[in-house]
Amino acid sequence: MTTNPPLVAAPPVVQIDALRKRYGERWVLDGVSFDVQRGEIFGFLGPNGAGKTTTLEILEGLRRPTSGSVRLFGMEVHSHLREIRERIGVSLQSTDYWGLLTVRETLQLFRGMYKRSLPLDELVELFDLGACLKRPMLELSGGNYQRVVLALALVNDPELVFLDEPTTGLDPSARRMLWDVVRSLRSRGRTVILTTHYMEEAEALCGRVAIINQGRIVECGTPDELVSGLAADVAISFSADAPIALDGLQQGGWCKDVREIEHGKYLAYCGDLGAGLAGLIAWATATRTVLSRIETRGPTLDDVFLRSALAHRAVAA
Amino acid sequence: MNALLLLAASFVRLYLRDRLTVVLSLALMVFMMVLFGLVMGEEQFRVALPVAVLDQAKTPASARALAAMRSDDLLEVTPVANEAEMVEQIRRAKVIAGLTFGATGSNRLVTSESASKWQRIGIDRLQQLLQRSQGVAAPSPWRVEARPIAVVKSRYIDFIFPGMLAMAIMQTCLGSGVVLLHAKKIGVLRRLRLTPVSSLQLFGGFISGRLLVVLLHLLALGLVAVLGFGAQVLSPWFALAATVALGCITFMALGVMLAVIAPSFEAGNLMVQLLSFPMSFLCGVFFKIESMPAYVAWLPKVLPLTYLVETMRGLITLGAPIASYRVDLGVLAGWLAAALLVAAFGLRHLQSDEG
Repeated sequence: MTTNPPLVAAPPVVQIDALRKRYGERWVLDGVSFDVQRGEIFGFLGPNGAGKTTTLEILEGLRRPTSGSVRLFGMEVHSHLREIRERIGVSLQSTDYWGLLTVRETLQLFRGMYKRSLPLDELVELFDLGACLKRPMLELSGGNYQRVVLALALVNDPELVFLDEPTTGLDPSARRMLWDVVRSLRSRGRTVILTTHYMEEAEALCGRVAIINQGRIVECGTPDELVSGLAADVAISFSADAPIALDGLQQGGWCKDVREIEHGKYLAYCGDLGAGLAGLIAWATATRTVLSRIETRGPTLDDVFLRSALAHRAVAA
Repeated sequence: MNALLLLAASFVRLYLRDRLTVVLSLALMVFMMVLFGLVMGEEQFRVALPVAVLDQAKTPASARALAAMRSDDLLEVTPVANEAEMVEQIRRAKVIAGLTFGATGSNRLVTSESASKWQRIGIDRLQQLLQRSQGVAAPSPWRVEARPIAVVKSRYIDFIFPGMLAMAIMQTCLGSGVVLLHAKKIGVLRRLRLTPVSSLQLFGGFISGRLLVVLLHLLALGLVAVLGFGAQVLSPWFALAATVALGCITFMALGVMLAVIAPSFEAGNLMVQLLSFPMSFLCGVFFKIESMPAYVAWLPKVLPLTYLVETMRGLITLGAPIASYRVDLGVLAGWLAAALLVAAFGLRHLQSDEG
């Protein structure tokens, strides 16, 4: 009789456990934990200064954690740095390359940094760089430049790719092109950790997202799960002619949650569109508040993000 | 190794593609050399007439003669220990003549057969002064010996050429700190650190690339000086290469040190200017240090470029053995060690948080 070897589940590509990081007296990461499985596109979202970049820098081995465990491919990052860097690709937020080198020279330079690299022709085809190969980096348009940056992140055909706000500042068509590249990575079984300020981008690309705020993970799940967590079918945004008391607004019971998202502009989450609108108008009539710019839509990841960010802003205040 | 070569090639490309900087940096140095070479002409810039003195007699007469020489506005007394040293001083054009007060009363005035007009004027002045010190009526006790000592040419181009080479090394290597700071500022240094390439390879590529740039500068200056002005290189090549290598590494270490301690690209740029500008004028590149006013004469002695200039000048113009400059090379090595120490301390401080 033969026995099959026991099935062992592949370890997560990224394992972070109770990660903490302190700069001086300030804790910028305070117990961050999450895993990323092989083949996932994982969105890492949060407002500015929430701890996204610090977390990525620790994962990439650029910074040391104050405490906690960080493992990539099952290996502790800082004790296997070179081995890990052979297997990861990185697109940093706002990095400039040497403008006087051509695209070809820049790609060749970075290809030479790895033991194993994709052939230049394959990179050129994958990112459609044929027309700009001989041009200096400083002469590239924003879209072309970002394509080269992505190509540089993939020169070593990495198993895990970190993309830190890769589409910031790009026009919609260039952004869609980069989305296609990211999707092609998933189809090739690569793992991607993506940070972005565009919620529609996270919804379009990411299988799971984590939202970090003030150094803590406040939400983690699939975009659908997080949107469902709002327990609202509709979001009503409106402006008011005078400051309003949010507690008084909610007392009518017509909405589940209401927040001031900008000065004088509010967002209410309701279970039912008709009841929500009726409740809002009744409240405005009773309080003699003039409403304007009333808009309704279904809840999105944007609302999850806003709720998380605003909740912590309120706590901080 | 591949990564190191690629990085070195990239730094050379970056330098050569910045054509305006290439033209300006080379043109400025060539312009200064041409300008000073033409203006100063053939004769070395002198403000004094130094004479080597070997006083074996120690008599009242010799003391009187020495006192008279010291009171002269132009004559300078340079005591020597023996005849060989005296001849060497004449050969190196450190002195215009050598004066011996013999123990047996046989006094001699030694000079070169090929003494220049300026030197002959000085010797005439010296003879007159010596006669006066013995009494006008006294017959001249001085026997002038014109020996076939091949005095090293002392044209201004021979003076300035080694200095310009040393200055090119200083400026290009200190400028490496700015190049490093720029790479840090735009983020490409951090991006390169995210590849598996070790810091040693990364730094090695940077150093190699910048050394090639320095060599291009030296080659261009050398061609202009040798082909355009007939400057001579009397030193053996290996001695010159070793000195150039030590100079490059020392000033590159200083550049890296500034890059490490500078809080920003802009501050680092200013720090490099602050260091290189005074060195260009105080360390004997254009004028002899001895001709400086006393209140600043101490400054060149603490600056590293002085020692590189002195060594390069001795090797190239006089063909002196490199061992004669072991103290100067030792001072440069000291600067190198200090710069590396500060750079290492600064790097450790910067990386205390980093991986």
